[in-house]
Amino acid sequence: MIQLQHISKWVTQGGSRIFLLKDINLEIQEGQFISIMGPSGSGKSTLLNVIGMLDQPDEGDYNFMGQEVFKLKEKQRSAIYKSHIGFVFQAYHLIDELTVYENIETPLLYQDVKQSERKALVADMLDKFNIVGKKDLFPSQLSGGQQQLVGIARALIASPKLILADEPTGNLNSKQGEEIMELFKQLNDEGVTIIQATHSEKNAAYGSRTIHMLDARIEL
Amino acid sequence: MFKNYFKIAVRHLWKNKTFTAINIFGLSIGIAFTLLIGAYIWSELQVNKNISHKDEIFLLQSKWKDPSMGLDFATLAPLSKALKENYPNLVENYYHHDGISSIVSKGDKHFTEGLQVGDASFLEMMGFPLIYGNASTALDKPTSLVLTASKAIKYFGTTNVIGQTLTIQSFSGSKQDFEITGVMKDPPQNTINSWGNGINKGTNEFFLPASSLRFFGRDAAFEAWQNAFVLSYVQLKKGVTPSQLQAPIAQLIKLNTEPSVQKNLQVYLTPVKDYYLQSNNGIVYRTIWALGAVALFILFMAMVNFVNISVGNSVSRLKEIGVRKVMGSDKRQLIIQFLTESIVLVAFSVIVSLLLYAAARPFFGNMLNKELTRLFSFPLQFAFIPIILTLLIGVMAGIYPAFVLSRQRSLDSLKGKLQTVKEKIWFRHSLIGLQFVTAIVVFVAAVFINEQVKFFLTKDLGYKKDQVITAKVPRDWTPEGVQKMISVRNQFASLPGVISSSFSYEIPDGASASMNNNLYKAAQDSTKGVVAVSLFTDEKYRATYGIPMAAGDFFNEKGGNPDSLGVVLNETAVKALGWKNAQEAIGQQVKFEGNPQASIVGGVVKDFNFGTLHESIKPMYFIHVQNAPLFRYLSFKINTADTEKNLASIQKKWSSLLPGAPFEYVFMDDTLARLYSTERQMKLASGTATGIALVIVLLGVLGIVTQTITRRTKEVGIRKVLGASVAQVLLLFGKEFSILLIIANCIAWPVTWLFVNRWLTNYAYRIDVTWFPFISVGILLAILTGIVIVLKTIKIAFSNPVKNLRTE
Repeated sequence: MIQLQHISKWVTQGGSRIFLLKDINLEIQEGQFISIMGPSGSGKSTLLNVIGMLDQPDEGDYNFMGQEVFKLKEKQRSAIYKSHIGFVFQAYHLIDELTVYENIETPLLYQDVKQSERKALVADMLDKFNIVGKKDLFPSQLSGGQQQLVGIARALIASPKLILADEPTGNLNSKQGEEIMELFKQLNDEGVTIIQATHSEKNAAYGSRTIHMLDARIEL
Repeated sequence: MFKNYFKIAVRHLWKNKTFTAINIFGLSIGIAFTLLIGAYIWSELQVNKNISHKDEIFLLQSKWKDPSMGLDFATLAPLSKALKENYPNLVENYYHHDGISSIVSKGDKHFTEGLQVGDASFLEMMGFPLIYGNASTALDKPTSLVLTASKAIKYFGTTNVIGQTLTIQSFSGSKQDFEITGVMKDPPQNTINSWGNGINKGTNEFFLPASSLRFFGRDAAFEAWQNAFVLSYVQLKKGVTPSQLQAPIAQLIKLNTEPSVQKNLQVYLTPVKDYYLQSNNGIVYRTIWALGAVALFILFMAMVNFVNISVGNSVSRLKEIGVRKVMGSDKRQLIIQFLTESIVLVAFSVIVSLLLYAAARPFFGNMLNKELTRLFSFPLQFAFIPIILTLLIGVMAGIYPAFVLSRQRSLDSLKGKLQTVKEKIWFRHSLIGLQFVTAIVVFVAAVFINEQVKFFLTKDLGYKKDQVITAKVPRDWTPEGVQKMISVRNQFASLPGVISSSFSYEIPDGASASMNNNLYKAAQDSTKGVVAVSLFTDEKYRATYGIPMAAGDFFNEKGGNPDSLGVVLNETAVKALGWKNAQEAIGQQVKFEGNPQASIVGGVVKDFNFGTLHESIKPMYFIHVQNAPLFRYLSFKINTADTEKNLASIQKKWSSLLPGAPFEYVFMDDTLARLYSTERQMKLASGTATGIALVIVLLGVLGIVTQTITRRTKEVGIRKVLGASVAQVLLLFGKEFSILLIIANCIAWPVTWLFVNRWLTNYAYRIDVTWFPFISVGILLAILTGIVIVLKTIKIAFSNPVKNLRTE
């Protein structure tokens, strides 16, 4: 599904290069549940962003489902990630002015899904996550765990093949974290590929494969 | 999709109530001002647009090489008629009229009214609709009368007055009944039955046939080629251009006039639909431009506030932008979303501005001396204007913030790396600076306009205008009429409350001194003469108006028979004729163009401002009314002790001495104030514009300061921990504005200085352009800005720094 070859990314500071990613080679098959571990600043998030096409490396090739991502035009690239990738953030990043329902609906709006279809999809998702009763609340009225639930629901609404989660449980207590990880496990069983960045060994254990990162490199 | 944009726009505006309120308040004031000015400009452009054949009707105007020979808006009396009769293939129709001011009575109700006496073609050619009566026959009989609906109500209390009669006086005092044959719907403003501006403004609402001129004794003049004072219109045949009439006009002038006229006169055609905008040296046109520019500037300032506040406030939007981008929004969709937001905000502002329009309409109407159209009286298609305005202003104000915000890198904003929006801070600062510049220019200009108007009303005019009242008298221009006036005047003068009384053809109202003549020394020939203004007065005039003598005396005013054959000059005339001083002129002989008899200079008055202060003092001469029997006004100098009582006693005396004539008096002070009505309107308008500009600029400062505080709360905390005093914290916020203010003043002052100096060249008598208003306005604006800053920052400056630091 994903092949990264010789991916490097750097910033230049005071004339010398500081690497954010250095010569990353990685292959991920469809249906895998990958955990990326490593200390802060090791490049986990940057790697996730590159995979998620939010960020571009300075060097290297990226093949996503048979397409050379960096050879595509911006429009085509955003079309790919709109339909295939869902994001989950540590800080949830829900839009404060929108209700639960509207937050979940937002990605569909950007994919020009018809209203009747949107309604059905969102209702389905609310039902699946058992948050029908909260659909008219605003994010500030929810607990952290509930917010992240909405965040995951939003990431899943467009039925992506790949979920990228950057420390999804970082802001949650352990019980809430466990629930979220169980949910990921379940999704993975349903066939969704998941890549998560995490600090926690326990969370990493949910995955089928763990990648360790240090100083912008993958530790083998 | 759009629903989503709209929803989030409303919620976002609601969440940031302070900024929304500032924005809506500022924008709606700006828009309302623009709408009011727009309504004014629209109604000015509507003048004469109601005339039915407006594309084919032309006013015959005259260009005289010697301006004393005629007026530019009138021409030779028989010209229009002769054109129609001799060139029927070019001219479809014509209308020319005399203007008479006379007394109209019904029973014992008497009023002085403007009568428009002219061809029967009037109603059909101009197309003013009649409510009652038949337009094609209404002016057929010499005793027919058409009046406007409002005059019908004034005299009869109703509009259906066909067949009723009104009595009109001729100048000789004889009376005749006129039968009402038509009632005209009150015409919208046009230049056919109204003229001039300021004090010269007037309207004719009584229309009589040319055949009635025999009753007024003016029928011969109306047919005479020597009469160059008749307003004349021609309606050209379809497809005929004005230039095709040049040769026929030249031919008719050559056939019918004297060589002196032929040499001096050039007649040209002005389209009646353009005449209003061009008249009075294009003052209407210039006013429209000036007001339009001010309105746009103010609207621009309001939009600048919106841009500044949206961009500055966008830190709070960064996360949302990032999330939306990650969710798959592209830049275009974000731009549309932000534009939707600004359009929604502008829509609210437009609604508020429409309310403001309705509320401020009477005030602005009064200020601009024009009834502004009611909101619901505009043509239906104008309903689109608010919608178009909303979209236009919404997009113009929103486009820059939309681009700046949508450009932000989604990742950085999500990670919280981006604390402020990456945009050029100097751009926002120059916008605020530009606002300051505008506010200063408008403010300083308003101060100078105010000073000049004050100067107009308080300058020593060289005569005493206080406690002088004037009233029009019936004109019986015969030697007997003059004798009667002398006795009337003397009886008024004997009233205890009247200090002095005088009758004359002219009063110093800036309008009535319209006649002039070539004046020259009897020993020389007329080519060495000077054009001088003529004043026809009695011997009491000087005393009534308190004009000091320089030499000689005023028609033997002290007593005995008035020296009616002499002439009195002013000092300017004495100088212009080449005498060294007033004393030298006494006893000398002068002659007037067209009069072989010489007159002896009996007196010289000191110079005084007879006209407006726009013009410098011209050479003038006084002729005694017994020598030239022309008079229109009685002037009274009354005792200041009990004005009410004195007026009442004059009123009582008037009804017994001049029965049938209305006593419509005006104080000289009011007459003079009306002379400067344009300037007083300008004073009001510039004052209003200043107020609005100040409100908007201070709102802008308020918005920016509020944002700066949010951004710098932590910094203030750290500084206070490090030992900064309250004053030092305040200074921190004031610094960026003080630099802006200094730069703004540096730009605004030269601009204003140029503008004010150019404007003042319109006036022969003007104030000096000093530095004081510039400096005081600069300081005042700085103080106001300072107050806004202090009010907003004082809380944070005094707050406990620990609290501020905890916000992180």
